[in-house]
Formats: sequence, structure tokens, C-alpha cells
Amino acid sequence: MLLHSNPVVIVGGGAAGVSCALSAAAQGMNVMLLEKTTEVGGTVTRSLIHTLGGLFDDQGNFLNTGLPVELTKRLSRACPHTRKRRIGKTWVLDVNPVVYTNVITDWIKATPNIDVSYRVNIINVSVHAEQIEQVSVTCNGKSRTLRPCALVDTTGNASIVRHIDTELVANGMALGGFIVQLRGIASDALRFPKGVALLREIRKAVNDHKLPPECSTLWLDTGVYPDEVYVKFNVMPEDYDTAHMRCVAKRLLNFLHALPGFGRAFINRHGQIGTRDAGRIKGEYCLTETDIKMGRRFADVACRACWPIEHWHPQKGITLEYLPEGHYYDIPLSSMQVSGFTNLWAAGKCLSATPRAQASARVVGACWAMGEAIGKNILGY
Amino acid sequence: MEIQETLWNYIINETLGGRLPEGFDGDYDLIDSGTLDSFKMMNLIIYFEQHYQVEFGINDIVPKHFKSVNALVAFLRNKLG
Ligand SMILES: Cc1cc2nc3c(=O)[nH]c(=O)nc-3n(C[C@H](O)[C@H](O)[C@H](O)COP(=O)(O)OP(=O)(O)OC[C@H]3O[C@@H](n4cnc5c(N)ncnc54)[C@H](O)[C@@H]3O)c2cc1C
Repeated sequence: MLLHSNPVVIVGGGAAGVSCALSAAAQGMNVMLLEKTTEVGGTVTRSLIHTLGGLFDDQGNFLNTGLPVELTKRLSRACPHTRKRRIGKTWVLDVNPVVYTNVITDWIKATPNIDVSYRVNIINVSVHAEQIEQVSVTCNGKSRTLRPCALVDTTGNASIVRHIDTELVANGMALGGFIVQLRGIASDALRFPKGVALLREIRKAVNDHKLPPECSTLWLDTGVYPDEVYVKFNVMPEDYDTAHMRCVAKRLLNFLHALPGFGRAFINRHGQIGTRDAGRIKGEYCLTETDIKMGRRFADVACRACWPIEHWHPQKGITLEYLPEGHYYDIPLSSMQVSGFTNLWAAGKCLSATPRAQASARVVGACWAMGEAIGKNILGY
Repeated sequence: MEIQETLWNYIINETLGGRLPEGFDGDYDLIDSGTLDSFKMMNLIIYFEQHYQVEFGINDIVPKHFKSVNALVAFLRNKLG
């Protein structure tokens, strides 16, 4: 028998995992947050995501109440450079990923009832009568067995659900990214549309074999500091080679040095490869592109979302499809409840969705809102 | 096809995805309205470079050339001579 005094076990300390932990703890539950690396923050932290999407609607108002709003407040308080910015028809929150990591680390630490473990390996998950019974883990070399009242997979790649049954996970279908932070750049070097002109120069240089082919689809973006630019390379996660991509970044830097505003540019940080879609669970419901385009409402609504369908197709590259003005759709709880289970959930980018639906629903603000909704509904759904 | 027609077709179908915003005309501000973000501008440039065998240099990619459909038509006509 699984008692409610048993902990909620959340595996993966990225956007969805952290918000789920904060929200479940606020309900008075005991929370165990298990992270395989040495820090929380997930993709935002490690891949240097600096524009948080999914927090605002197309008018710049908050889409969801609760933790996404609180997160925005905390990030603004922690760093005066945090700012809301319009990109095309969307609004994002520009952040320094280091500040983001510090803010959420402190937030978790200051919240009672959350026990965070790092360097955790999930060894086994045992199931009985549609319920998760036990989770065996090792943490810093020591083995432990947990009996969770509910298990939430916020690993971003559905690796816990995969452990239980690989059939319950659809494989990922999107390009990944390698992001490099440059500093030392003149403050208006990318001011719209200068960034587009610069991209054009880079692509010409690739055609003329002055730059390696990996630069042909890169993207440039401003950061929070006036002298900062992020370079985003597209990569297939399977083919990614860190040493090679760092070399490509160095060659690009040398090329940029000759362009206006980039004479003193230097590489400040390299991100780790980020995977936009590393697998999606098969949930009680699978969110579709039609749901998104029709602005579908669900009785079991978890949160709202309205990010464009930003699909990074492995072969065709990126396409961006905006939703109509003033439009939003619901993400239902049932798209985060693993099919056939009563106490197994998955939130964040590995929710149950078609590849193009996930291409809208995966943004950071939506992951925060999803995690919060699961934390609130985990026992009462 | 005339530049003007090609451009209108491109903007309506590709940039606006077939949905015309209220008050859309040749002077509609494509930049302030957020219609032409960096992605869409890049795609438009690539399309025209391929379609008309021209090259856009750093000095071509400036707001005044992309501000509206009329501005773009004038700029492209000028560029193509
Ligand atoms: C290149 C790139 C660019 C992006 N750009 C943007 C952007 O500009 N704006 C935006 O809003 N979104 C962007 N996204 C999307 C967004 O960053 C992610 O979808 C979102 O951060 C995912 O959050 P998550 O909590 O679902 O997963 P993650 O943040 O990936 O967190 C998963 C966590 O689980 C941990 N974990 C994994 N496996 C295990 C395991 N077996 N045991 C324990 N822990 C485990 C990981 O270490 C990690 O900490 C981008 C994504 C990529 C890859």
C-alpha cells in the first residue's frame, strides 16, 4: 500500500522538475528530487538557454499564474539585466543562464520538504497493478530503495519511463543545438536587422569555403549584457563531437573579428549539446498540432501555452509557424500521465505530444507551468 | 512575374502564412508589427537571392529597405536595375 506520507519522487532537475518539486512541496508533500549531474537547471543551465519562451502571450502578459510569474520576479530581482523582450510576434524573458541556475538553486534550498540528491543513477523501477512501487537508485555510490507515492519523470528524455517499457516512449525528432557565448562585442552589432546581414555574410563565407559547413545554419542572438552575443549551431545529437564543434566555434570567431563590432570578441562560455526532443512519452492523451492550431481547451487543463510551432526538423531545418493573434491552447494533465499508470507522470519537453506539438509546448515557461500543475494535482487527479 | 506580384505572393503566403492582418496594405509596417522577424527576413532574402540571382550585401539589409511591401518593391527594382 502506498501512503501519501511516502515521498513524491521527481527524477530530473530541469525546468519541469524544479517547478514540480516546488509545487508539490507547497502542497505539503515530501519531495525527493533526483538529479544525475551535480546541479539543477537542466538544459537552460548546461546548454546556455538565454531567452525563456512560453512565459508570456503575444501581448506580453503572463500566460499562467503561479511559479512562472514568481520565477520571472526572482530572476528580475537577482539581476538588473533580466528583461522582457519582443522577438517577432513573441515575448521572451532574456536571462543570464548562470543567474537562472543560482536563483533556482537558492529557491530549492530555501523550500522546506525538498530533499535534492545529485549524481543519482536510477537502477530499477518496479511496477505492480498499474502503480510504481519501488525505485532503486544509487547516489554517490550508495544504493537506496524508495517507495514513492508518485513518480514524475522530468528527465527531458523520458529515461525513467523508458526504464519501465521502451514502448511507452516515442523517439525524438528534432535538431539539437550547441550554443556559445561571446563577449567583447560592440553594443549594437546585432541590432535588427544587422544580425540578419551578419548571418548573410557568414553563409556566403561558408559557400566560399572560408568557414566550415557547420556554420551554414547557425543563428545569432543578443544576450542580456550589451557586449554579449550567443551563437547557436544546429547539430544532430548522434553526430555531435565536442572537440570538433569547439574548433568550428574558434574558426567562426576568427572570421567575425574582421566584421564591424566584433574586433574584440572572445568566447566566454561553451554550452553542452542540447537536445530539443529526446523522446516523448505515450500519455493518456497525445497533444497534437491540430489541438494547438485550434486553440483547444481541455477539462483537465494543466496550463496554457502559445509559443509558435518552432520545429527543428532533422533534415529540413527550422520552420516557424505563428499561431493566430491572441491565440492560446491548453496542455492537459492527461498528456503528462503515462498511459496505463495511476501514479506515473512525465512533465516538460518529454510530455505526450506529436513532434510538431512538442515543438511549441517544450519552451521553458511551459515546462515550468507543466511541472507546477503536476505538483498540484499529483495525488488528487 | 512582376516583382511586385512575386513579393506580394511571397509575403502573403510565406511570411504571413496566408492570414492577412487587419489594415494590411503596401505601407503596412512589416518591422514594427513583428511580421518580419529575423527568421522570416532571412528566408525572404534567400528566396529573392535565388529567384532573381542577386546578392544582398551588409548595406542592403537595413530597416528602410524592409519596412513595407512598397519599400521592398522599390529597393528590389533599384537593385535589379
Ligand atoms: C539548443 C536549444 C535551444 C533552445 N532554445 C530555447 C529558447 O530559446 N527558449 C526556450 O524557452 N526554450 C528553448 N529550448 C527548449 C528548452 O530549453 C527545453 O525544452 C526545456 O528547458 C526542457 O526542460 P525540461 O525540464 O523538460 O528538461 P531539461 O531541462 O533537459 O532537464 C532534464 C534534467 O533531467 C536530468 N536527467 C536526465 N536523465 C536523468 C536520469 N536518468 N536521472 C536523473 N536525472 C536525469 C538532466 O541532467 C536535467 O537536469 C531550447 C532547447 C535546445 C536544446
